[in-house]
Amino acid sequence: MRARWVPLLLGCLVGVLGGQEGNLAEITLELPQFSAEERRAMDEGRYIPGSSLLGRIAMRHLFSKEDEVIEIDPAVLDLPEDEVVEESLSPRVIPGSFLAAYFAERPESFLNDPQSLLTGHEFFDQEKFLDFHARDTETNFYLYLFDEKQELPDGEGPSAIVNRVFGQRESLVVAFYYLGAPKRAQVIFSEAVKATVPGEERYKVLEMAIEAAEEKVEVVAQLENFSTQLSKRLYWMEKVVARYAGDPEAVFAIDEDYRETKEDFFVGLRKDPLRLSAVLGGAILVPGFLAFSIWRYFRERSRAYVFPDAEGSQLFEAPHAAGVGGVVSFASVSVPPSRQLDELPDYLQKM
Amino acid sequence: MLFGSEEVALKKFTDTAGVLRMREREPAREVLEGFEERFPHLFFAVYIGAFKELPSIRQFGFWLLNRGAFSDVDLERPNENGILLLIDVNAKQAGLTYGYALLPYLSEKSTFEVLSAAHPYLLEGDYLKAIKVVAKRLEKDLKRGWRKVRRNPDLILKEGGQRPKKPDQLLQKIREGNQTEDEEVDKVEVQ
Repeated sequence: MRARWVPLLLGCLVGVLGGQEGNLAEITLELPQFSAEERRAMDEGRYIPGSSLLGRIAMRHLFSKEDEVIEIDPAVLDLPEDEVVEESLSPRVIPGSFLAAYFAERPESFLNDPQSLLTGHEFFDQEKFLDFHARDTETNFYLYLFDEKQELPDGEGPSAIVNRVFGQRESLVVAFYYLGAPKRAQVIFSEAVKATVPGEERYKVLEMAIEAAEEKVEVVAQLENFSTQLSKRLYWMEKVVARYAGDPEAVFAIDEDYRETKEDFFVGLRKDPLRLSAVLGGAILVPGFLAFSIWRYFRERSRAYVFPDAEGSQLFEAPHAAGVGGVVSFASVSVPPSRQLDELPDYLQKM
Repeated sequence: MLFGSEEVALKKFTDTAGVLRMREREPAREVLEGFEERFPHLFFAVYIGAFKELPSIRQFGFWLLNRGAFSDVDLERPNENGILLLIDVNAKQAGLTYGYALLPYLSEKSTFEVLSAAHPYLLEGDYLKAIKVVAKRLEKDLKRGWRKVRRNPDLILKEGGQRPKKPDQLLQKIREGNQTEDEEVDKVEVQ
């Protein structure tokens, strides 16, 4: 191929060097062609196109039947082999080096993130929040962070982990939260909490926390919503537990608390006639006022306004109209009507 | 007369400048019809023009309402009871003119305020919206005037240079004559 371009390049060179006369047209460009002998040799494998450009040594190597012996530098041979990475790269598996930090011992802080899934600042904020929760409530709230697709090791259930690491007596809640997958979150209540809070309510707590997390899109914001909601619900749960502590037969339910408030309201009404009359008055007056407003609105809309017949003397000899009203110019945004107000009407100006 | 002494035939919605699109014209007419429904003796007309040299928009509005014969306005609504919105799209000016019957209820100041409310839409060239705003504000002012005149008609009409219209004198004479004859007949019967 290279041989084919040589005459062409030479032709161009001659054309450039040959001056301004434009002798390019006179140069005849011929494409290289195989001779019959070359074609036969190429078919038999004895001839390689372009081989005339190769040196003699290259030609000898090319046509020799022996493979070239490659000698490797001994210094390279002595290099130590790369260490085999044992840990699996699967996103589902928690790297072995972190298992102890997660499942073997009690975490040092309420936020357990040995894989450093959160940045330093995010970790600090979340940890501070959990510390704050711990100061305000009796039930401690531990938060274990995992990556989105990670799974607990085979044979390890979350309840078993919590029982093993924390024991059963302590009043605490441990949340296993998977960053970016709030639906996978698990909340484990210690036996002390389970004894006082029914399963339905515990499930509701988790459900609400997940719902709160799903309101956000960003993973850290989801975590913040989750932990905030869980903390709030735990706080109120604790308040209710404290109220029912003296009554072992009481049916625990957070909603009962609100129901009681409503009942108190109606009982109070019956006892207080003044309050009752105010409420009844309001109940009648407000809808009445609304109905009146709606009626008035529709009446005004369909109303016809008839002015009294009037007559007066003509002005400026005008038979019908002499009411010269306002004029507004809208030629420029920079001249609002407020600036046109004091302008003298043109009919009062000298023509 | 600067603009001529002949009567000019036109419709209550006239867009000689052609600034309103076809689909905007019907809503504009509906605004004027709605105004007439609420005020059975009044009418509201709109004239949009592109004048090359208009010496005064006030003078032209004054002349047009006095000389205009609005073919689609019924006879119960004479020009005395009309309001004309005039828009000159070349000079970028808008003016309001109104008939004698509305002198007690509208003024130069109140109509200036009405036009001011439509100023943003006029600036944007949204003339349909401007017409709607003007109609709405005029209705508001007129309703206020209607309430006032209902309470004290003599005073309000007097302030506007008007007085309550007396019954037609010829009609009055005929009726009085008839009453006299009836009375005489009654007297005869008694005798």
